Amino acid sequence: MRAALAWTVGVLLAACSRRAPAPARPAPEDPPLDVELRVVTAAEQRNAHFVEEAALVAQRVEAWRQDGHGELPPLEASQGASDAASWPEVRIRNATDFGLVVWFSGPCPRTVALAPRAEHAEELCAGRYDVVAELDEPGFDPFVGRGDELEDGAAYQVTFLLRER
Amino acid sequence: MRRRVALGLALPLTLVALASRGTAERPDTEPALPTAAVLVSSSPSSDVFLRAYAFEVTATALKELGFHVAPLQLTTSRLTRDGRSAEACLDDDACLQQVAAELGAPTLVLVQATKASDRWRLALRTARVELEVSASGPTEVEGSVDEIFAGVAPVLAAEVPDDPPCVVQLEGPRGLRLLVDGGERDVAAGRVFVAPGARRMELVVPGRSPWRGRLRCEGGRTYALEAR
Repeated sequence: MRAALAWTVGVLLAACSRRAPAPARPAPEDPPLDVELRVVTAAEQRNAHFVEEAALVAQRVEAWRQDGHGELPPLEASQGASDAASWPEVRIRNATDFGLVVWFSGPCPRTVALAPRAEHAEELCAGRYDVVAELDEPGFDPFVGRGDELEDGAAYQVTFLLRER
Repeated sequence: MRRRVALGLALPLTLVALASRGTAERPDTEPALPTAAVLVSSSPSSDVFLRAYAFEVTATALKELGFHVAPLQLTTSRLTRDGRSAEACLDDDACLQQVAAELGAPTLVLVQATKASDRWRLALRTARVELEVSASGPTEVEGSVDEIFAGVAPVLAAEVPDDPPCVVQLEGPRGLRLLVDGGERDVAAGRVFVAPGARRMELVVPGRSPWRGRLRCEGGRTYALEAR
């Protein structure tokens, strides 16, 4: 009887040992994510905003072009710019008694608001710009330019004044 | 009847010393500046100059404080999306959070501009957006346009919160989830704001092993976190 019991226990132990799990193998894993974490540069930041801003300003300029508007004469560059690598600078003078909003539609779009009799200097990147000016007074049409090429190293000036016709 | 007036007169400048300023002042490889947005509502809402000038003086003051400012038309388009009024959005924290995330601008200046004759009034609130919006009470600046220009800068210098949050721009497969310090963040806008300091980041994508890393947020920087 004891021998039979020992035999039975022995067989069971042997069976259990055979059925014991194999040494743990790593479960098949999901492929890892390939991740890059980096600091965004000033240029990327600026460009991200400029792309959308440029499209929005261009839409507005086109709407003005379709409506009634006055013509802006072309901007002219100076002859003696000091640094050929500098960004173009546009100096705006508001010689009216009204507020003035000037829109630059181009690669570095910009909206500038000038108080009456105020001046402002704006640096823009080089490229072709449509310039629009709007007076803060009911009844005035906006002024729309026909496209100005602004070049590095050049400076420009535009003065807005009123002459009744 | 509309009056026809002339003219925009273009004159060449013979000599201009170009100052380093505005968009050209930082080399392209420098880290992005902390981003701010100026959200303007105006009365009357049709007054283009009122809105543009309120934006201009506020943005100029923020740039002096070291911020990159989201441009006017882009900001206005987000603020008035789907025909909602700017006023409605300025009074709604969920709307402000959405606009801030879309612009990547965790620092907001909320401006209510009014004008009566030659007198202007700007009610300024500064807000910081992180997990929620925390805004200051309004401070009013009143006067002529020149007085407004002079009055806005000191208000913002005193009230814009220090230590702006960082912006994390996310790009990755569908179903991407982001946890910051163990808390899941809403990634619908593609950007999340992270408080300054050392942060534990975890990216989870179905069917992929999670990515875990650390981010030291300082200086209100913007980070690109791209998963493939």
